[in-house]
Amino acid sequence: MSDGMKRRTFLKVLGASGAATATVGCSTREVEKLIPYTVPPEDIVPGVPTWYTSTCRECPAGCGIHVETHEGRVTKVEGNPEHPISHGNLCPRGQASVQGLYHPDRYRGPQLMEFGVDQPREVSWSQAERVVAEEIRRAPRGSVVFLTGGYTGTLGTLVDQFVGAIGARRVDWAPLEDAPRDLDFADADLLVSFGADFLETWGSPVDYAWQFARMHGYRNGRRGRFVWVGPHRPLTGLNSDLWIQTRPGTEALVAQALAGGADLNQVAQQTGPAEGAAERARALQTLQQWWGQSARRVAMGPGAAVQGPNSQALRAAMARLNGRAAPPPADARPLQQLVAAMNAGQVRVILMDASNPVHTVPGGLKFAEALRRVPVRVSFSGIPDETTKLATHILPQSHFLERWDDYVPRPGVFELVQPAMKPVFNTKAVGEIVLGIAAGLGIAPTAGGAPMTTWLDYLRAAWAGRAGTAEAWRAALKRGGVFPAGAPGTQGLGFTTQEQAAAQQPAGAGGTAAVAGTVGGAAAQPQPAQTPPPAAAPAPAAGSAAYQAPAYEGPQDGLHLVVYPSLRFFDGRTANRPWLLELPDPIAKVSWDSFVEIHPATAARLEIEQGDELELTSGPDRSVRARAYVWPGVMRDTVALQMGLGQEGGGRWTEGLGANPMKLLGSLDPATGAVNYAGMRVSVRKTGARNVTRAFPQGLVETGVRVQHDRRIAQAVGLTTLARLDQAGPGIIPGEDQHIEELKGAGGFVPEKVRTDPASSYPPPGTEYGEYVDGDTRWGMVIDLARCIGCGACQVACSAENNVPVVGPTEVRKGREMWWLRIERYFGVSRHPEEAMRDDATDDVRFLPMLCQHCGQAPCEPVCPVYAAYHTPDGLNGQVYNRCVGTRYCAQNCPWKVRVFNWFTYQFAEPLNWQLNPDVTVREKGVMEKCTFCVQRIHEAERAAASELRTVRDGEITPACVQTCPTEVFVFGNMSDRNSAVAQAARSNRGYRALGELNTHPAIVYLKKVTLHEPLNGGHDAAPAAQGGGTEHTPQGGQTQGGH
Amino acid sequence: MVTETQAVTRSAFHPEVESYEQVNRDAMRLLTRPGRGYLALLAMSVGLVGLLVFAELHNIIYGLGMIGDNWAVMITTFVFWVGIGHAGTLISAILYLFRAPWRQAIYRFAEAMTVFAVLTAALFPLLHIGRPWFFYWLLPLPSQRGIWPNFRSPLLWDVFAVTTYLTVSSVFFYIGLIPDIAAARDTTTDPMRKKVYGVLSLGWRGTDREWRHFTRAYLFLAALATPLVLSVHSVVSWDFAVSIVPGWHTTIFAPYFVAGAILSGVAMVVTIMVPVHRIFRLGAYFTPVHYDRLAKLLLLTSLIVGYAYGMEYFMAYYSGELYERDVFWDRVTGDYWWAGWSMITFNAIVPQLLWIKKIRMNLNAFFIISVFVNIGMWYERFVIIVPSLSHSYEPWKFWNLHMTWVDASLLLGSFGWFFMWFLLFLRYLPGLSIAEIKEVLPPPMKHQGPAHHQHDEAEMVAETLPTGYKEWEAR
Repeated sequence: MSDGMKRRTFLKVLGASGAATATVGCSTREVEKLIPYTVPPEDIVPGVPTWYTSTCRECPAGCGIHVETHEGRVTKVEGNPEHPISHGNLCPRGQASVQGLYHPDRYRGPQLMEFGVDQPREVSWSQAERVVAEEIRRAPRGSVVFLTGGYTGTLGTLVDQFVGAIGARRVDWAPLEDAPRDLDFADADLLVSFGADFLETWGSPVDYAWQFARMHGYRNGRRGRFVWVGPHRPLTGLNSDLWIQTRPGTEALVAQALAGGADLNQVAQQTGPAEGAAERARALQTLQQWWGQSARRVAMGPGAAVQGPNSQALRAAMARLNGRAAPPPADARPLQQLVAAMNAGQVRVILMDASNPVHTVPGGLKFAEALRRVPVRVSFSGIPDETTKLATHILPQSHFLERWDDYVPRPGVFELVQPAMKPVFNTKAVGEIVLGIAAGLGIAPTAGGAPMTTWLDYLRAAWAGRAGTAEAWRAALKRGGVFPAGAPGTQGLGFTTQEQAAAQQPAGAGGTAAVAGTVGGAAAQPQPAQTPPPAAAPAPAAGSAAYQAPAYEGPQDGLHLVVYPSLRFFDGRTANRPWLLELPDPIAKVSWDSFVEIHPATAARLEIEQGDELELTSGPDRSVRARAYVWPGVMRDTVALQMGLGQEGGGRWTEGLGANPMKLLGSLDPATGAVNYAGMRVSVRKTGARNVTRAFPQGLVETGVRVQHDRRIAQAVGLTTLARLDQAGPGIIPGEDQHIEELKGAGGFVPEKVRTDPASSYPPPGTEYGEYVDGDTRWGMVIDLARCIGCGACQVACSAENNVPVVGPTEVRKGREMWWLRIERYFGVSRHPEEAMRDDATDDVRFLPMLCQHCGQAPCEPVCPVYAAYHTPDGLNGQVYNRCVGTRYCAQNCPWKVRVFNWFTYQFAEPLNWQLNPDVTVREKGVMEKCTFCVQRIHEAERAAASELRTVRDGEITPACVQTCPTEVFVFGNMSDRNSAVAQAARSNRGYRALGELNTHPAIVYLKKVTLHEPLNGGHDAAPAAQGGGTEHTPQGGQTQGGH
Repeated sequence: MVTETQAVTRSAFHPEVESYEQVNRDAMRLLTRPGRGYLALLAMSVGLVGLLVFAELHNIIYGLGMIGDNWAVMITTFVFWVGIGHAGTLISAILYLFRAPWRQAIYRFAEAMTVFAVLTAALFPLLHIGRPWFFYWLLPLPSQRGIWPNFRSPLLWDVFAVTTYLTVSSVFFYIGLIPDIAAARDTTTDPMRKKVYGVLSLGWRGTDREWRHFTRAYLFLAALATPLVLSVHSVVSWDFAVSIVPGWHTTIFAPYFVAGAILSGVAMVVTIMVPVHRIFRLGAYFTPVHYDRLAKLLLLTSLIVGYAYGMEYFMAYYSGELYERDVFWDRVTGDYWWAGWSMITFNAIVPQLLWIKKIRMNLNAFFIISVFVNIGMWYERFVIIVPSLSHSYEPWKFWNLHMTWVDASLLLGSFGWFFMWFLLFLRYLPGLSIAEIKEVLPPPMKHQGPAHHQHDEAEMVAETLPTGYKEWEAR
């Protein structure tokens, strides 16, 4: 019980490292001087945030953002509502970008490794640039390589100029940036995704999630259907209505069957193990039926999870389905050639600005070994990683929130990245660094015909065509760039109509169909997805597009391995953000760890239990260890492992966490040169390290349980039932009104609610805790489960807004996460944990945002002995931190368990504390806290309204979760105002209150998820009390994968 | 001589006590003869208190997160000690009002145990809060903060219940002690002790007037303390019953808790009495009568508690409430099945052995049973608190207890704290009630009575000899 390590671990994970505090660079000192503004800056009013428009650069999507700064410090990032990509919303990675800005591990300035000295030497920028320029000058011509990421903007032009001037070579490494970012499928009836995790990383997740909610969310009695094709179900797959299971490399058969009409039973046989072939055939039949029924349909992909053998055949077949070419995958062969050149000693200087290539390049390419042979290794990474560990010169680049840049995520959208604050540390934008090195070499890159010496000038000159004048430039900055106003989407619809598909048929009959060809070289440049006329599609080499029996690497008796990018970490570039580490993975609800997805039957065969440590081996010296996550969302002969963790670059939080699956991967896809994310087989071995419960410091940190134990927390309703109900009327607001309606329905005595006379209203004044008077504000929220995709953006936004601390893995294991809002993920309304292991368990996955319900008659309030929990007149459950002594009774008495306790004084390691929102108190140990509906925003709006002598308008207040949600799940407003958006939304046949039977009058109305079939057990009519305590079971059946 | 007289007239309850002098002698003997064992025990207790302080300092410096989970160990231990405190007042006050003559010899120990148990229990509301340095915010102190505590909160009722109980039981304890402290003052040769006892005895001289006032005061205080036996644990039970946590929100809780408290208190009395009996050779005072009566009390309360257990399960079933059913099912089959079954076995099943006279009369057996009941009663509170919280409404937040060394230290430290006080009490205050034991002894006669008188006395003894006494004698 008593282990001395605990405190140490605790301090290590949570504690503000004294060293970090001591070593924070000169900028800190500069800011800490308490000198008032003698000449106040024009746009800074103390206490009033200043907002800057910019562009998020955490992933290739390029969402437009607004950056909130307080007194010159960035505190929060929110979506730019005008922007066609973000629609005003943001994903968890975008929300966490501020932690990248203030990450304590960041380099304080340029560093050089000198021969024979272990410690890097900190140097000035001029010195560093001079040294690098000198190395380039000395290098033989052609022996300099610039390894870049996915450049689309002016930086690409500059680097090309620079590389051209010095006779160097540019190699791109951006394997996950090849997906089209301009699809428009918001009106589709059927979406078939071939492994494209467009809600997580593929293409433009925020935009696609927004469109997905439009297409798949319930409206006007209908909703679109979504089918997921792939070997496992990531978050995107969990949001699908139908899962077509395909062993890696066989997805092409499904696409071909859809396009051509193959024997579905045969396809089912070929796409997976013998077990479940019948189910697969049924699912395929359903898919085919749906495809035929749908007028507007689109096949999306292929994504990384299906990027394996036969991906070329898959692309060809998809081109036939869509009537347009699937985009070519990013070609990694130039990198392979670079590795060969490095091994051959032909590279003397390498400049690296790609996303941590040592970590993200497949192990089979042996990039790190080759890199060691390059004498001069220059890294522009701003934060230590595996690549900088091998670098000899570290010229740290600025975070995107502190630099100038631009980005072109898709044709027609030109975005500006503008600094929202001075660099936290002594860093520079890559463009600036390149110009500095160029200056050292005596080169002056030109823009607009004139040589440029500063990066901003260069950028402005490059934008001369788009925003040449000062006013136009200012307008572009204010807007975040130059892009078409309003409407989402772009030049082309992503789906084909039936007519188009019919026209497509003859062309596709030949078996080899349209594909955009195998484009090499500049594959990392986003390829604008064009819509070539089918007949004009270039015919590729016939062999590459035909389906062949897939060949896999690795041990032939092993299980298939699927490596897929992470919603939280992408390829690992955001893995060091504490918020994202603590955010439970939306798929497995595991935080602070990697997990190997493995099917229950396979686990049983291999005697693997939940959380056992597994060793996956794909070849000699290629193995990783991670904990088993046993669940039915992966095929029987497949294991899946997420990218991102397994960082070995010395990050203070990531070091030693999880496993890097890229190490397991082997050679590239010979047909396309793409990384073979799904072409490997691995042998799986138990290491013997067993999982243990939360009570012990090791083991899989899985938060929450998977089944609802018959509780109707997350409810669903079948589409047909709902349509029937909707015909009868729009429904009522669940809760008090419901009782009245029920009484009316029963013909009983009904005190009529008279709005003008509180004395005769029901319930009588004073009988309700809180004593609301009609007309008083009652803040409330509606949460639409049919729209929630479970991404967790709201969680991170909430933490960013409300200074919610991160507690670290040890504390998470004890269930002490501090999230004020959490996404619960339930597999239906099943009762027993074993039911979550059934093959069809993932067919009805419900994501439910759970936050303080702000009850009208709250159980937490009367039990507090010191009035720390109290009721505000506008219906909020207030929590006075200063008054709280920490009896924790309120938390015990909260049925939703949404109150969280500060077990320690959690630290925000300097300079992460710069991010803290000055409008919200930072809590100390021993204090209870919880969701406040962002009371600071409510009050801000109320003050603003009061100063204008008016009341708060509906929609004026958006709590952080509401603001960021990519699928617009939340509606917030005044419930008493029956014309408000929130009251309108609550008036629904899908409405219910979670645990409403406890009669606490929650302020949150949930709208049931809408399933295509009637949900098993606990649907619209089933009441758990009526089921006799839930020991009985509704007989299974009625919900198979197929059938309609 | 006087001895002759006393050899003949003997108390029905203390046949081996020969004289008033012997009572004085034996009571004072406790105060003067600390053996090495005593010192070792005291050192151990103080050591455990040190552990408690050490652990609590961790809580204060690092944060309450050093403990495992939430209300688990601390509140369990709090309720456990409050419960223990009930037997003392029951024996000293209620049995006093009922004039039960077997209370005299044991009530002082029981009462001391009550005071110290409540003193121990009172630690935990302070220790378990997140910011113990603000504990006084729970008290209705007029201050510039201008905020009264929330009188609707059961935790506040708790504060009042426990402080009231502590006050009343301490006063009752002290009032009862006054004549005996005076006796100690008169006996002791240690000048320091004489001085202290002199102050504590409030100048008691044993006059008629003083005795008259004393008995009145004692009676009133007994009457005042009696309702507390019922009220305090009822209030503590409302900590749970007022909430909406499944498994807590039941009306049975108040009587169920009171019965459980008396069960645990009686068990603790026995657990303490037997070693004291053995170590200090108090066989003349702790006689089979006492053990027999205590055994019956234990059996009775165990039956009540067993009934309550059954009722809880029946109501959970009968209500048809999903959450309630789940919690109760979870108690015996879930992750804490071992605790659930320990509770049922130790509290409701093991005490049934006391139906058997042989076991009841066997000191060792009775001692072991009492220890089992003590453990069982700790588990009862554990079972009420932990599985209910870990398995309440929201499945996503089902959690399991995580016990740390700090929890264990606080639990052990509470025993150290309790026994430290108790051992100090044994050494410095008369553990036997000199005055009251004399009440049940035949008064010393100046002249030996006639023969028939003796005969009558013997008859009386035979009539009132309690059950089991003969067997005891025979051994």
